[in-house]
Amino acid sequence: MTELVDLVIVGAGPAGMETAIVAAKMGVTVTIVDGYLQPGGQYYKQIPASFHSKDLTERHLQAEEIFHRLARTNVRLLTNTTAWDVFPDPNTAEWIVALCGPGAPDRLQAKALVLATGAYDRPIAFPGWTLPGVVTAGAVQTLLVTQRVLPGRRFLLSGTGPLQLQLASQLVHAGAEVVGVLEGAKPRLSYAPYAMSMWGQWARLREGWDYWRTLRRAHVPLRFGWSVVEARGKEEVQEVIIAKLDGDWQPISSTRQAIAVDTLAIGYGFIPSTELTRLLGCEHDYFPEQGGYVPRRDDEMQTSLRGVYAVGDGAGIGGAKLSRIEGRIAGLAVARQLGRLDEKMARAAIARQQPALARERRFAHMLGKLFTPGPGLYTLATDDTVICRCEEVTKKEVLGAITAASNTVTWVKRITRAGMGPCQGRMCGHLVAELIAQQTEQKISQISPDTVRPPVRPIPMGCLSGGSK
Amino acid sequence: MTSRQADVVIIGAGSTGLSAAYELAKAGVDVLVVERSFLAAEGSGRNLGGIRQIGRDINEVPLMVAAMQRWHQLEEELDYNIELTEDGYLWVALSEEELSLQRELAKRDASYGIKEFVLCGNEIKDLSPAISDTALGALYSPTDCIADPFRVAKGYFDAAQRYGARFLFDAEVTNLRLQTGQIQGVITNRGEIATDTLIVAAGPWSDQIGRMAGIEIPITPCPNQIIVTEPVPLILPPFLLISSIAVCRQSSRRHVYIGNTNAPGGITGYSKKTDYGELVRTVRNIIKIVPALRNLNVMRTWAGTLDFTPDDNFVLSRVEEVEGLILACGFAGHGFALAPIIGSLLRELIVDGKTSLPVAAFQFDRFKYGAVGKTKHFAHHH
Repeated sequence: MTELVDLVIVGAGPAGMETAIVAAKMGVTVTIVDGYLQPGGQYYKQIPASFHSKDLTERHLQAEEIFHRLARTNVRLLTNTTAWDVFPDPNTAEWIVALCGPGAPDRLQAKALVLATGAYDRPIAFPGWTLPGVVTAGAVQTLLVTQRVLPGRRFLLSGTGPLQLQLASQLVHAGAEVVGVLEGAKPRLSYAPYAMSMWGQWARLREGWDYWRTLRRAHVPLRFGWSVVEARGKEEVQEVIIAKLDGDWQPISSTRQAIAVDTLAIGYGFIPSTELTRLLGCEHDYFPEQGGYVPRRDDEMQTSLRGVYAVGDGAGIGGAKLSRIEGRIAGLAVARQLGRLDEKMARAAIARQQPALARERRFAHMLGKLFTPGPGLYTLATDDTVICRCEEVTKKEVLGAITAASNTVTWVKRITRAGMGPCQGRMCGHLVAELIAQQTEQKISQISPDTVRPPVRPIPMGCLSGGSK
Repeated sequence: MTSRQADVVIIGAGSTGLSAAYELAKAGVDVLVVERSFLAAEGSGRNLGGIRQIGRDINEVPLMVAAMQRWHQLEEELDYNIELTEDGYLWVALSEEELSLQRELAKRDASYGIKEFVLCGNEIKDLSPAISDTALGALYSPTDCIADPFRVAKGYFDAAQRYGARFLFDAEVTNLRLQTGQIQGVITNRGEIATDTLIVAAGPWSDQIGRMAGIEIPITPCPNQIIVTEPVPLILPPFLLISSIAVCRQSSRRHVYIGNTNAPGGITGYSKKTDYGELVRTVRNIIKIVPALRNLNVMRTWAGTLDFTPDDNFVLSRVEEVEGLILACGFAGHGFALAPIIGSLLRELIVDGKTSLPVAAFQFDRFKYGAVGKTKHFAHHH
């Protein structure tokens, strides 16, 4: 069955929920689709109800507030549901979203689409990165905050960006031993102009100060311009090798040191989830500071396709605050597109969001410029380091498939199977692109990413047999 | 780009073009392949790698027998691992008519030296326990094979280059140069190549090249849908063929591949993204035959365009009206399995002026006189 709605939002994180609340208030009928059991996305991820645990952090209070506002609307929430294909309806100017989930219709037909798909961890390949005990920072945080599980005892954090400090502080509070936090970036004079983007970010400065203080008290060393370069161990991580990085984030071998740990949390930033915008054929641009390829958007978050909007981290890494502002703007723009809000009021309401939008974008830009891994980190893998974990393809095999005649990720995938596994290239796609760029001496932005095909996430085949009832 | 010249130009770096380039270069012919994309970018890289002798039209059988001999030598010949394995084909019969047809064909093919066995219900279960009781019987061809289409393309490409073949990628043919009914050259967006011999191996786009030469090649593009699942323990040892419904195989890495058998009468076009309705239809049909597939996770789907002619048979011939023009197209999904022999036949056509195997059924002339009957491909499609 195909159900008709005004607006389908994919993703119930900060951006998606905010869009839904604003659009629903204007009388738009909204359905949000999210793959998790509960709304919230990564940032407002909820503790399972059965935990009976009180969470009084600032973030949780914000989450309570947004969930409460969402509950007061008539937005339909389809959780535990995958939006696995999106395509234009051949007979109208509307969009079809194919779904797979308990109780979800097979298809939704919408006049407008808002894609608020979020982001995923950006892994870096180094010798030993596939050993048990090497975990992404995002995964450690999810285990810790929502499942109350410490995946290890003795941690080293290596990566870049403020999330590392937050995670280290959470680990300390949870009773873990944190032997150090390695920040790949190092303070430089050229960063001074970005200092102004901190103006007005008082809550963030306060938060940062709290983390700093927690780490100081627990005597957790914080090293700038350092990174893990290798993980070692028999069955699992037992020790890691760290090294100082040069200006290109290339490790300086004379500085190598060994540290004994049982868990290595790696957090080299995030990659926007652009599968749906790429599947639809939206125009994309490459911005390293936004996490890579992002959909091109107008001032009202509309992509190059009319009626298709993209908001939040899935349209460029910017964090929860920026996501909510973008969601608000998209909600207003959709309401106007559907005739629920007149032109003049829409323009005024969108204009009111501009100062906050500009401030958050400046801040996101500053973070992106400061904390984007440099090219040297992509040289850590050795010939026998696995690049594609699903299909177990080594760096040597990837290099062997790169020919002067073709520089596409797709060709490497076709010959080596890198990216053909269940993660659909999310882990290795950017690693393969970096290897091609290095090998063919091109810029990473010149390497075209792999084609996206449905389903954008694996779905049971039974879901495909239910259509056109 | 300065203009260049070649004795033979091939349009298309798919299985057919690559095999022809290899064969010609090996025979010392100066050959250049023009390709608008890259190796095996279309049907040649979008198929399941099946190499079957089972269920073919009588005109294709001798070619396929010869192709199969070549396949077994190809790995050594190309000095490249093409992942050829003898999985066998299992053609499931869903009706009594299909069963009796299979019995006849087993006899027919035996006279060509192809081993095929008619199986009953229990024997099918022994071979592939996942197949449901909907199967009344089956024809089993244990010597049929599969190979990795991309590795085959890469193997041919490397070997052809070693013999001196040249390749021009990202080069789209915009026009042909003709003079008094004779091919003079090929014009591309990357420059012009002077030649007096042109092989059109552009699959479903061959008719567009034909028009540049003033001829009408009747081709219908049909997008076939492919579904790939996560890896699972072995449930389907042979390549499963369900006539008019689907083909299905499990790879050496245990992913299950399902291909539908779209043909004229179904959807047409060149889309490389799967069609929602077609996917649903295919899955519903295949689940009846292999119920266990229902619970597998689908990881990826894509479409590849098949090039059907009005009688379902391909074209492998010179064109009377245009001197120097040779067509090798309209393979409708049979191009990959036949590639080694098609390359040889094209070489013979150019170097020797005649072919060592009968190709009368594949002449371009046959479309001229209008009423073209359907040939008898028994399996795979309608």
